[in-house]
Amino acid sequence: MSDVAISSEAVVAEAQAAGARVGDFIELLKPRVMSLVVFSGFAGLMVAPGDLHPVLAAVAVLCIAVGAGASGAINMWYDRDIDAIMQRTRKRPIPAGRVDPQEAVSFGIVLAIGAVTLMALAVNWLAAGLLAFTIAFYVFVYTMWLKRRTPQNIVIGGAAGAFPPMIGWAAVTGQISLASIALFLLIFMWTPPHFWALALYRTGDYAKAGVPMLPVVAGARATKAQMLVYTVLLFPLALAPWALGLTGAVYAAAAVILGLLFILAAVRVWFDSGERAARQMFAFSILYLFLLFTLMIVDRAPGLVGGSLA
Amino acid sequence: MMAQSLPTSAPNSTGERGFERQRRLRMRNRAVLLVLLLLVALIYVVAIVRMGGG
Repeated sequence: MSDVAISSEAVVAEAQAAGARVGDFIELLKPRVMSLVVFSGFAGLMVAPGDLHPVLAAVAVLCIAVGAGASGAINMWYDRDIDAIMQRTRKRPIPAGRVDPQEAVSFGIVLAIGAVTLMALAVNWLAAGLLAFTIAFYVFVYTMWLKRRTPQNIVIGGAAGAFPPMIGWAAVTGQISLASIALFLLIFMWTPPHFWALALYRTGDYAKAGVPMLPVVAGARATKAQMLVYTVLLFPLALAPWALGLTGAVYAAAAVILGLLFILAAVRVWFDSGERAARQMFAFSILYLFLLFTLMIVDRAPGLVGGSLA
Repeated sequence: MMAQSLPTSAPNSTGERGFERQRRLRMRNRAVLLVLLLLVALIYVVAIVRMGGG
Protein backbone atom coordinates (compact mmCIF):
# COMPACT_ATOMS: atom_id res chain seq x y z
CA MET A 1 0.00 0.00 0.00
CA SER A 2 1.39 3.42 -0.92
CA ASP A 3 2.15 6.20 1.54
CA VAL A 4 -0.54 8.34 -0.14
CA ALA A 5 -3.21 5.66 0.37
CA ILE A 6 -2.20 5.13 4.00
CA SER A 7 -2.19 8.88 4.53
CA SER A 8 -5.73 9.33 3.12
CA GLU A 9 -6.98 6.39 5.22
CA ALA A 10 -5.40 8.01 8.28
CA VAL A 11 -7.13 11.30 7.53
CA VAL A 12 -10.49 9.50 7.18
CA ALA A 13 -9.89 7.62 10.45
CA GLU A 14 -8.96 10.86 12.18
CA ALA A 15 -12.11 12.56 10.83
CA GLN A 16 -14.27 9.64 12.00
CA ALA A 17 -12.72 9.78 15.46
CA ALA A 18 -13.44 13.51 15.80
CA GLY A 19 -17.11 13.15 14.80
CA ALA A 20 -19.23 15.29 12.47
CA ARG A 21 -19.58 19.07 12.68
CA VAL A 22 -22.93 20.78 12.23
CA GLY A 23 -21.54 22.18 8.96
CA ASP A 24 -20.98 18.63 7.66
CA PHE A 25 -24.69 17.91 7.98
CA ILE A 26 -25.50 21.17 6.19
CA GLU A 27 -23.11 20.10 3.41
CA LEU A 28 -25.08 16.85 3.08
CA LEU A 29 -28.06 18.95 2.00
CA LYS A 30 -26.18 20.16 -1.12
CA PRO A 31 -26.89 23.86 -0.46
CA ARG A 32 -25.92 25.02 -3.96
CA VAL A 33 -28.31 22.60 -5.67
CA MET A 34 -30.92 23.46 -3.07
CA SER A 35 -30.72 27.19 -3.83
CA LEU A 36 -31.81 26.74 -7.47
CA VAL A 37 -34.55 24.29 -6.47
CA VAL A 38 -35.85 26.71 -3.83
CA PHE A 39 -35.78 29.57 -6.28
CA SER A 40 -37.74 27.71 -8.95
CA GLY A 41 -40.23 26.52 -6.31
CA PHE A 42 -40.61 30.09 -5.10
CA ALA A 43 -41.19 31.22 -8.70
CA GLY A 44 -43.97 28.63 -9.03
CA LEU A 45 -45.57 30.06 -5.90
CA MET A 46 -45.27 33.62 -7.14
CA VAL A 47 -46.62 33.15 -10.66
CA ALA A 48 -49.53 30.89 -9.67
CA PRO A 49 -52.93 32.60 -9.73
CA GLY A 50 -54.46 32.93 -6.29
CA ASP A 51 -53.46 33.88 -2.78
CA LEU A 52 -51.54 32.02 -0.13
CA HIS A 53 -50.90 33.46 3.33
CA PRO A 54 -47.24 34.65 3.49
CA VAL A 55 -46.52 32.36 6.47
CA LEU A 56 -47.85 29.34 4.58
CA ALA A 57 -45.93 30.40 1.46
CA ALA A 58 -42.75 30.56 3.55
CA VAL A 59 -43.51 27.12 4.99
CA ALA A 60 -44.05 25.74 1.47
CA VAL A 61 -40.66 27.11 0.36
CA LEU A 62 -39.05 25.70 3.52
CA CYS A 63 -40.57 22.27 2.84
CA ILE A 64 -39.32 22.31 -0.77
CA ALA A 65 -35.84 23.29 0.49
CA VAL A 66 -35.75 20.60 3.18
CA GLY A 67 -37.16 17.99 0.79
CA ALA A 68 -34.44 18.84 -1.77
CA GLY A 69 -31.80 18.70 0.97
CA ALA A 70 -33.09 15.34 2.18
CA SER A 71 -32.84 13.94 -1.36
CA GLY A 72 -29.27 15.24 -1.53
CA ALA A 73 -28.33 13.55 1.76
CA ILE A 74 -29.79 10.19 0.69
CA ASN A 75 -28.07 10.57 -2.71
CA MET A 76 -24.72 11.18 -0.98
CA TRP A 77 -25.28 8.10 1.19
CA TYR A 78 -26.03 5.87 -1.81
CA ASP A 79 -23.25 7.31 -4.01
CA ARG A 80 -20.54 7.31 -1.33
CA ASP A 81 -18.51 4.68 -3.21
CA ILE A 82 -18.32 6.63 -6.47
CA ASP A 83 -18.04 9.97 -4.64
CA ALA A 84 -14.80 8.69 -3.08
CA ILE A 85 -13.38 8.07 -6.57
CA MET A 86 -14.36 11.32 -8.26
CA GLN A 87 -12.16 14.39 -7.82
CA ARG A 88 -15.21 16.70 -7.65
CA THR A 89 -16.92 14.77 -4.84
CA ARG A 90 -14.18 13.06 -2.84
CA LYS A 91 -14.20 15.78 -0.16
CA ARG A 92 -17.91 15.34 0.58
CA PRO A 93 -18.66 14.54 4.24
CA ILE A 94 -19.18 10.77 3.80
CA PRO A 95 -16.19 9.82 1.60
CA ALA A 96 -14.01 12.15 3.67
CA GLY A 97 -15.06 10.20 6.78
CA ARG A 98 -16.59 13.18 8.57
CA VAL A 99 -20.14 11.77 8.65
CA ASP A 100 -21.08 8.15 9.25
CA PRO A 101 -23.10 6.76 6.26
CA GLN A 102 -25.88 5.45 8.51
CA GLU A 103 -26.18 8.83 10.21
CA ALA A 104 -26.40 10.51 6.79
CA VAL A 105 -29.17 8.29 5.46
CA SER A 106 -31.11 8.55 8.75
CA PHE A 107 -30.75 12.33 8.58
CA GLY A 108 -32.09 12.34 5.00
CA ILE A 109 -35.06 10.07 5.77
CA VAL A 110 -36.09 12.07 8.86
CA LEU A 111 -35.90 15.35 6.91
CA ALA A 112 -37.86 13.90 3.96
CA ILE A 113 -40.66 12.64 6.20
CA GLY A 114 -40.68 15.92 8.16
CA ALA A 115 -40.85 18.08 5.01
CA VAL A 116 -43.68 16.08 3.42
CA THR A 117 -45.67 15.93 6.69
CA LEU A 118 -45.32 19.65 7.32
CA MET A 119 -46.31 20.44 3.73
CA ALA A 120 -49.42 18.26 4.08
CA LEU A 121 -50.48 19.75 7.41
CA ALA A 122 -49.63 23.38 6.71
CA VAL A 123 -50.27 23.77 2.97
CA ASN A 124 -52.19 21.03 1.11
CA TRP A 125 -52.06 17.35 0.28
CA LEU A 126 -51.41 17.79 -3.45
CA ALA A 127 -48.26 19.84 -2.82
CA ALA A 128 -47.17 17.29 -0.19
CA GLY A 129 -47.84 14.41 -2.58
CA LEU A 130 -45.82 16.06 -5.34
CA LEU A 131 -42.99 16.72 -2.89
CA ALA A 132 -43.00 13.07 -1.76
CA PHE A 133 -43.05 11.92 -5.39
CA THR A 134 -40.15 14.24 -6.25
CA ILE A 135 -38.00 12.94 -3.38
CA ALA A 136 -38.85 9.31 -4.25
CA PHE A 137 -38.15 9.94 -7.95
CA TYR A 138 -34.74 11.47 -7.22
CA VAL A 139 -33.73 8.74 -4.79
CA PHE A 140 -35.16 5.58 -6.36
CA VAL A 141 -35.48 6.39 -10.06
CA TYR A 142 -32.47 8.68 -10.63
CA THR A 143 -29.93 7.77 -7.92
CA MET A 144 -30.54 4.04 -7.48
CA TRP A 145 -31.82 3.00 -10.90
CA LEU A 146 -30.76 5.28 -13.76
CA LYS A 147 -27.55 7.02 -12.73
CA ARG A 148 -25.26 4.00 -13.04
CA ARG A 149 -27.13 2.23 -15.84
CA THR A 150 -27.87 4.56 -18.74
CA PRO A 151 -26.45 7.66 -20.44
CA GLN A 152 -30.03 8.99 -20.42
CA ASN A 153 -29.77 9.17 -16.59
CA ILE A 154 -30.03 12.93 -16.33
CA VAL A 155 -32.64 13.22 -19.10
CA ILE A 156 -35.21 11.13 -17.22
CA GLY A 157 -33.79 11.86 -13.75
CA GLY A 158 -33.93 15.56 -14.54
CA ALA A 159 -37.67 15.38 -13.89
CA ALA A 160 -36.89 15.41 -10.16
CA GLY A 161 -35.34 18.85 -10.46
CA ALA A 162 -38.22 20.07 -12.62
CA PHE A 163 -40.99 19.43 -10.11
CA PRO A 164 -40.38 22.33 -7.62
CA PRO A 165 -42.25 25.04 -9.61
CA MET A 166 -45.13 22.59 -9.96
CA ILE A 167 -45.07 22.04 -6.19
CA GLY A 168 -45.07 25.80 -5.61
CA TRP A 169 -47.98 26.17 -8.03
CA ALA A 170 -49.91 23.34 -6.33
CA ALA A 171 -49.28 24.95 -2.92
CA VAL A 172 -51.17 28.07 -4.06
CA THR A 173 -53.87 26.62 -6.32
CA GLY A 174 -54.24 23.06 -5.05
CA GLN A 175 -54.16 21.97 -8.69
CA ILE A 176 -51.93 20.87 -11.54
CA SER A 177 -52.57 22.95 -14.64
CA LEU A 178 -51.18 23.36 -18.15
CA ALA A 179 -49.17 26.39 -17.02
CA SER A 180 -47.51 24.46 -14.18
CA ILE A 181 -46.70 21.64 -16.61
CA ALA A 182 -45.08 24.27 -18.87
CA LEU A 183 -42.85 25.35 -15.96
CA PHE A 184 -41.98 21.70 -15.37
CA LEU A 185 -41.07 21.18 -19.05
CA LEU A 186 -38.92 24.29 -19.06
CA ILE A 187 -36.59 22.88 -16.38
CA PHE A 188 -36.89 19.35 -17.76
CA MET A 189 -35.51 20.47 -21.15
CA TRP A 190 -32.89 22.72 -19.54
CA THR A 191 -31.38 19.93 -17.42
CA PRO A 192 -29.65 17.79 -20.12
CA PRO A 193 -27.56 20.58 -21.74
CA HIS A 194 -26.77 21.91 -18.25
CA PHE A 195 -25.41 18.59 -16.93
CA TRP A 196 -23.78 17.51 -20.19
CA ALA A 197 -21.83 20.79 -20.25
CA LEU A 198 -20.45 19.80 -16.83
CA ALA A 199 -19.89 16.19 -17.91
CA LEU A 200 -17.90 17.33 -20.97
CA TYR A 201 -15.12 18.72 -18.81
CA ARG A 202 -15.45 16.04 -16.12
CA THR A 203 -15.48 13.07 -18.49
CA GLY A 204 -12.40 11.48 -16.91
CA ASP A 205 -13.92 11.69 -13.45
CA TYR A 206 -17.19 10.03 -14.53
CA ALA A 207 -15.34 7.35 -16.53
CA LYS A 208 -13.13 6.52 -13.54
CA ALA A 209 -16.21 6.15 -11.33
CA GLY A 210 -18.04 4.05 -13.94
CA VAL A 211 -20.94 6.51 -14.32
CA PRO A 212 -22.21 6.20 -17.93
CA MET A 213 -22.63 9.90 -18.66
CA LEU A 214 -23.26 10.63 -22.35
CA PRO A 215 -19.72 11.97 -23.10
CA VAL A 216 -18.25 8.80 -21.56
CA VAL A 217 -20.48 6.41 -23.50
CA ALA A 218 -21.16 8.22 -26.79
CA GLY A 219 -18.23 10.65 -26.94
CA ALA A 220 -17.96 14.44 -26.97
CA ARG A 221 -19.26 14.94 -30.53
CA ALA A 222 -22.56 13.10 -29.97
CA THR A 223 -23.03 14.88 -26.63
CA LYS A 224 -22.50 18.30 -28.19
CA ALA A 225 -25.02 17.48 -30.92
CA GLN A 226 -27.63 16.49 -28.33
CA MET A 227 -26.92 19.61 -26.30
CA LEU A 228 -27.64 21.69 -29.36
CA VAL A 229 -30.90 19.81 -30.02
CA TYR A 230 -32.07 20.34 -26.42
CA THR A 231 -31.26 24.07 -26.42
CA VAL A 232 -33.23 24.47 -29.68
CA LEU A 233 -36.19 22.54 -28.20
CA LEU A 234 -35.94 24.67 -25.06
CA PHE A 235 -36.37 27.90 -27.04
CA PRO A 236 -40.13 27.61 -27.75
CA LEU A 237 -40.74 25.98 -24.36
CA ALA A 238 -39.30 29.03 -22.60
CA LEU A 239 -41.95 31.10 -24.40
CA ALA A 240 -44.79 28.84 -23.24
CA PRO A 241 -45.46 30.79 -19.98
CA TRP A 242 -46.01 33.90 -22.13
CA ALA A 243 -48.14 32.03 -24.70
CA LEU A 244 -50.31 30.69 -21.86
CA GLY A 245 -50.84 34.19 -20.52
CA LEU A 246 -48.83 33.59 -17.39
CA THR A 247 -46.35 36.39 -18.09
CA GLY A 248 -46.16 39.55 -20.14
CA ALA A 249 -44.03 40.94 -22.96
CA VAL A 250 -41.00 41.68 -20.78
CA TYR A 251 -40.59 38.01 -20.00
CA ALA A 252 -41.19 37.02 -23.63
CA ALA A 253 -38.51 39.42 -24.90
CA ALA A 254 -36.03 38.18 -22.29
CA ALA A 255 -36.84 34.54 -23.06
CA VAL A 256 -36.07 35.15 -26.76
CA ILE A 257 -32.74 36.86 -25.99
CA LEU A 258 -31.67 34.33 -23.35
CA GLY A 259 -32.79 31.43 -25.55
CA LEU A 260 -30.71 32.69 -28.46
CA LEU A 261 -27.70 33.14 -26.17
CA PHE A 262 -28.15 29.60 -24.85
CA ILE A 263 -28.26 28.22 -28.42
CA LEU A 264 -25.18 30.32 -29.23
CA ALA A 265 -23.40 28.80 -26.21
CA ALA A 266 -24.24 25.31 -27.51
CA VAL A 267 -22.95 26.23 -30.98
CA ARG A 268 -19.70 27.48 -29.42
CA VAL A 269 -19.39 24.17 -27.54
CA TRP A 270 -19.91 22.33 -30.85
CA PHE A 271 -16.99 24.17 -32.48
CA ASP A 272 -14.71 24.17 -29.43
CA SER A 273 -12.38 21.21 -29.13
CA GLY A 274 -11.31 22.18 -25.61
CA GLU A 275 -13.12 22.64 -22.30
CA ARG A 276 -13.53 26.43 -22.24
CA ALA A 277 -16.85 26.70 -24.09
CA ALA A 278 -18.36 23.83 -22.05
CA ARG A 279 -17.36 25.53 -18.77
CA GLN A 280 -18.85 28.81 -19.99
CA MET A 281 -22.04 27.09 -21.09
CA PHE A 282 -22.40 25.38 -17.70
CA ALA A 283 -22.06 28.73 -15.93
CA PHE A 284 -24.44 30.42 -18.39
CA SER A 285 -27.05 27.67 -18.02
CA ILE A 286 -27.40 28.49 -14.31
CA LEU A 287 -27.68 32.19 -15.07
CA TYR A 288 -30.21 31.42 -17.84
CA LEU A 289 -32.62 29.61 -15.53
CA PHE A 290 -32.13 32.08 -12.71
CA LEU A 291 -32.87 35.05 -14.98
CA LEU A 292 -35.88 33.40 -16.62
CA PHE A 293 -37.56 32.70 -13.29
CA THR A 294 -36.59 36.11 -11.90
CA LEU A 295 -38.22 37.76 -14.92
CA MET A 296 -41.25 35.55 -14.57
CA ILE A 297 -41.67 36.76 -10.97
CA VAL A 298 -40.98 40.41 -11.86
CA ASP A 299 -43.27 40.34 -14.88
CA ARG A 300 -46.05 38.72 -12.88
CA ALA A 301 -45.77 40.86 -9.75
CA PRO A 302 -48.46 43.54 -9.55
CA GLY A 303 -47.10 47.04 -9.97
CA LEU A 304 -43.75 45.88 -11.33
CA VAL A 305 -42.96 46.50 -15.01
CA GLY A 306 -46.70 46.70 -15.65
CA GLY A 307 -47.00 42.98 -14.94
CA SER A 308 -49.92 40.92 -16.07
CA LEU A 309 -51.64 41.24 -12.70
CA ALA A 310 -51.21 44.98 -12.52
CA MET B 1 4.68 4.05 8.84
CA MET B 2 1.12 4.94 9.81
CA ALA B 3 2.25 7.49 12.39
CA GLN B 4 4.58 9.16 9.88
CA SER B 5 1.69 9.67 7.43
CA LEU B 6 -0.64 11.35 9.88
CA PRO B 7 -1.23 15.05 9.14
CA THR B 8 0.68 17.27 11.52
CA SER B 9 -2.32 19.52 12.19
CA ALA B 10 -4.51 16.64 13.43
CA PRO B 11 -4.90 16.26 17.19
CA ASN B 12 -2.42 13.56 18.11
CA SER B 13 -3.19 12.86 21.74
CA THR B 14 -6.20 10.94 23.00
CA GLY B 15 -7.11 13.83 25.30
CA GLU B 16 -7.20 16.39 22.52
CA ARG B 17 -9.20 14.05 20.31
CA GLY B 18 -11.67 13.35 23.09
CA PHE B 19 -12.06 17.05 23.82
CA GLU B 20 -12.71 17.83 20.14
CA ARG B 21 -15.21 14.98 19.90
CA GLN B 22 -17.07 16.24 22.97
CA ARG B 23 -17.10 19.80 21.60
CA ARG B 24 -18.56 18.70 18.26
CA LEU B 25 -21.15 16.52 19.98
CA ARG B 26 -22.19 19.47 22.17
CA MET B 27 -22.56 21.70 19.11
CA ARG B 28 -24.65 19.06 17.31
CA ASN B 29 -26.93 18.67 20.32
CA ARG B 30 -27.44 22.44 20.51
CA ALA B 31 -28.22 22.59 16.79
CA VAL B 32 -30.82 19.81 17.13
CA LEU B 33 -32.38 21.62 20.13
CA LEU B 34 -32.53 24.87 18.16
CA VAL B 35 -34.15 23.17 15.15
CA LEU B 36 -36.74 21.46 17.38
CA LEU B 37 -37.60 24.74 19.11
CA LEU B 38 -37.96 26.50 15.76
CA LEU B 39 -40.17 23.65 14.51
CA VAL B 40 -42.44 23.97 17.56
CA ALA B 41 -42.70 27.74 17.02
CA LEU B 42 -43.39 27.21 13.31
CA ILE B 43 -46.16 24.67 13.93
CA TYR B 44 -47.67 27.05 16.50
CA VAL B 45 -47.71 29.94 13.97
CA VAL B 46 -49.06 27.68 11.19
CA ALA B 47 -51.85 26.49 13.48
CA ILE B 48 -52.83 30.09 14.29
CA VAL B 49 -52.82 31.02 10.57
CA ARG B 50 -54.86 27.95 9.55
CA MET B 51 -57.40 28.55 12.33
CA GLY B 52 -57.71 32.12 11.10
CA GLY B 53 -58.71 30.78 7.67
CA GLY B 54 -55.36 31.55 6.00
